[in-house]
Amino acid sequence: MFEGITAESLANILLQVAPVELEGLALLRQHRPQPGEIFPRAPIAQIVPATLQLMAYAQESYKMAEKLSKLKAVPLVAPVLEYGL
Amino acid sequence: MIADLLNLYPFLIDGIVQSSPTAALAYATAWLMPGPEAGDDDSAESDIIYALETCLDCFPEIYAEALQRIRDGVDIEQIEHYLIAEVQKRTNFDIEQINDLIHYISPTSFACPLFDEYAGEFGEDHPWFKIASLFRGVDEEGADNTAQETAKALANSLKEAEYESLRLAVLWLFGLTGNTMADYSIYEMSDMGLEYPYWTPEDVEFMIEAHEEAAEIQKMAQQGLALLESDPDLLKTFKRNIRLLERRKRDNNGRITNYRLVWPERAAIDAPGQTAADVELLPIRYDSAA
Repeated sequence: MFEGITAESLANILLQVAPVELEGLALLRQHRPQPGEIFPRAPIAQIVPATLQLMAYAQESYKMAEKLSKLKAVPLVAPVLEYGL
Repeated sequence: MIADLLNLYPFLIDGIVQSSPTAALAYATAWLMPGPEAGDDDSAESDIIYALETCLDCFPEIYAEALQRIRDGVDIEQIEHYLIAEVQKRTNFDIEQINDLIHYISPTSFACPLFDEYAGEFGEDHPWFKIASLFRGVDEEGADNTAQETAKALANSLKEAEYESLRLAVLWLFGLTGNTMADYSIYEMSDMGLEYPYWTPEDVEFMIEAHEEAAEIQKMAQQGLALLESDPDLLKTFKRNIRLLERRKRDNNGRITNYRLVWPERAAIDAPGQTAADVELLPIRYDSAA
């Protein structure tokens, strides 16, 4: 039976969530800027989907941050011992 | 020495990408969606940047491709052409210059040009004018309230008789369809002080549908006029019914309320199953006569 969770174990669980694999970061690993240029060059067919994904990711992140900033305290059924209400 | 400096940058970028996911994400963001800021001037560069902001919100694929072209050194004029052509392709909006992609969406007019003083090519001899002038109260300047109320009553009767294209023709001739873009010229819309929608994804979607509806109304109305021109019996009935309506009593607002008209059997063009614009589907003006 579940009796509680610690902040440390909660953090460990969250750390096990796989990071979002952004195509833009993958492109950065594949392409380097040429000497004298600020940004790398990549085929347009790869740039467009990477940009769209990054836009969607930025929007989702913004929405999530908005939600978190307005989150109200709720009494937990499953207590996190360090932050018990 | 200079070569060393030039090579330093890629070396630093390597370090960023390898060592810090946050810095790598920031660098990827600066690369792929830099969030351009326009200057205060009216330069072509500022116009392009504002237009790119529109694309970032409404057409991200176009934005991404345009940005890449800019980085590839494509000149501003070609970028302008690219943005205009691509947005036009996706929306069918009438976009003539880069300024049309800034702030608000300029509507396209699908109105009957008969009484448009700037259209210029529709004189008294034009077949559409001959049809319009069958209504009492029509002259080269336009139609008065009497003619408009007669047209509304005639259109209602045509609706009951299921003469859809002819009904739209009557409403379109006098700007009574209820779709702003099918009823007014660009100059009239401007004079009326209409507030145009801004470039947002929701308004773009709405305007695409409104444009499609207005274009459909225009197409159907022209079919209706052609039908009338090609069918002497229908034209005869049309004239007779106009006269009947003009003899009817009107209320204080000039409306004809109590009438019933007879029409010939429907022609094939108006038969059920043909495409018909539903002008009530997207009323962007709320005084629809339909």
